[in-house]
Amino acid sequence: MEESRRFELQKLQTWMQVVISHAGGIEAGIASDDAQKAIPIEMDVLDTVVSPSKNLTSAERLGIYGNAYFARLMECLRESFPALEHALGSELFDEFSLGYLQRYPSQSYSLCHLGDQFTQHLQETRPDAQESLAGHVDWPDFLIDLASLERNIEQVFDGPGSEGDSPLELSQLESIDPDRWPEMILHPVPSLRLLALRFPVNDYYTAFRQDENPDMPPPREQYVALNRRQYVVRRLEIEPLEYQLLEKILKGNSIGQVIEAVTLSANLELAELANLLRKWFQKWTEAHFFSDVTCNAMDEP
Amino acid sequence: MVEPRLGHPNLGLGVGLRTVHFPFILEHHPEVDWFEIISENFIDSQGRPRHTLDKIAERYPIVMHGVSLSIGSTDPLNFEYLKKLKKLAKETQAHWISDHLCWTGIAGRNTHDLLPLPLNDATLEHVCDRIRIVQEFLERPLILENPSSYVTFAESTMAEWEFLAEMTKATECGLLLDVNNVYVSSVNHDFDPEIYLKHIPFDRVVQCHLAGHTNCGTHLIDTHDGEVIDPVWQLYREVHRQTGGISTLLEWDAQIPPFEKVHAEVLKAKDHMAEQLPKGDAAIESGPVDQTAAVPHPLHFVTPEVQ
Repeated sequence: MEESRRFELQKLQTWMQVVISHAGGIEAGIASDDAQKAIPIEMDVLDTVVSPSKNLTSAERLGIYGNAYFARLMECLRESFPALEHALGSELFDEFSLGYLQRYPSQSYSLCHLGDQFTQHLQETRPDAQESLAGHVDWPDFLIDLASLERNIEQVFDGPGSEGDSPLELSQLESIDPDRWPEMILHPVPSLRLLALRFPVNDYYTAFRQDENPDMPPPREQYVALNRRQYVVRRLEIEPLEYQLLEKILKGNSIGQVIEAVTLSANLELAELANLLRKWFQKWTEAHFFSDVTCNAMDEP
Repeated sequence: MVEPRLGHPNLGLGVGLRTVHFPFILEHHPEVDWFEIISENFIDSQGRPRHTLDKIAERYPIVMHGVSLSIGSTDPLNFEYLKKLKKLAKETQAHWISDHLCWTGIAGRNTHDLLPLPLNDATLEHVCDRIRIVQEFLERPLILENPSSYVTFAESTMAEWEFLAEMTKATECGLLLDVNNVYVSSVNHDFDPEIYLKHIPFDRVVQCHLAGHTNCGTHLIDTHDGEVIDPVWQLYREVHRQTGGISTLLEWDAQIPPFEKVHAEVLKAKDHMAEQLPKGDAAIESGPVDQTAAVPHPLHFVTPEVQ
């Protein structure tokens, strides 16, 4: 294809994409700088680019694509963030979605990635950004946390998992001499994610799913572990200290390193922590958080 | 001499695989001839969708149908995407890989719509160049579908059927003939759908699509949300006559009913193959609806399962 003709097609495609994805509609799209740069044309001669049909003008025909663009993508965002839509109400949710789609238009071949930056968008556009920086927790944090929970659920659902592999059993941990616990490295399953939330959005999400029509709760820190078993995402509320431990384990630290860091920061007696660990090892293995355990020294030849 | 259907088998009457039907299919193993998947819903999946597809592929023939190849775009082809398509086709033993004669975005963006091209010699050359590259990469002929469209361009110098015939002749690609799209576009662009079919090189048609659409009064929108209407069945009869039998698939993507209803809809094709009137009343064009409520295909989303 001659370069000049390819350039013509490129200009037409640039123009059409700008026009049909303009939030102000077709007419505003045609008048926009980006569209004018590609094809400088006014509405009254639109039929020199897009032909009319017997029943519809050129603008009406282009408008079909314009209506569909936002309707299709906003429908997908509603499916991705149903609890957030409930919290915001449909009208406000659509307003947020429209802003998001303009700021972060899809660049993926798959609609599964459409909501990837939605949480980030809410954070970037929050009305009280300065107060947020000062550590003040308010309703935008509730929306951001809820969006984060829903996004993570979706990613865990279709991301890497460990179905088909045997999870780490409690008996495997119990067979290790407690004196060697510091050397232990727990290997998490690939679907395990930890969330530290400023509002109890996990409870809100549960209430929403049970059609309880929940209201926005007051702020309360909530820690959640997401995992997938048998292709279903499981949500498990965890304690703050448990979150700290798991976070460090997920970074590849040995149990010894984790204990050292946590006892220092939490001002906790070692014996007390050992008891907690026994309880949590049982909880974590039952929830299939880990696939294996290795002990550095044991693994040496 | 081209082998009919490019040598591909007539798989019979199939149904578009949709996630809402996963539990029913896995439990009841319905007697469906084959399934068509939306490629983009599975190429990255490492969870339930992919697991279910693998189980279904053990029992049923699979065909891959994509919505993001963007063969007509002036953006570079996405070889990462093509690599994933090729891998999934190998793993599911997909009979063929199809997409649409369209572009979906430019400048790195994806509108997730099947946007029409100006139909002229320059575009034909551009599309053919890209089809050859894709076919070489996939090591198999690409099968391209005629999309429904809502605009035509002043720069177009040829009819869609002429473009398709030239395209398949130049590249030896196959065609997926969607008779609902032929009908929708014929109403939207004021042409006779029978003339369209007269110019189709049927030896290149590998598959046929059926679907429902929405009547917006002044135009039709390809919504895939209902029964196939009688004028579309009439076009299907002609395709059946011309091909002597073709892999036929029903797409139902919005307001999706229970699996049995979707399956029953495609089985109506049997009556039309026998050139008998279908049992019961044939669906006719319904009255016009507000167009803002109608969103054209594609709209594909996988809802997560969570406890």
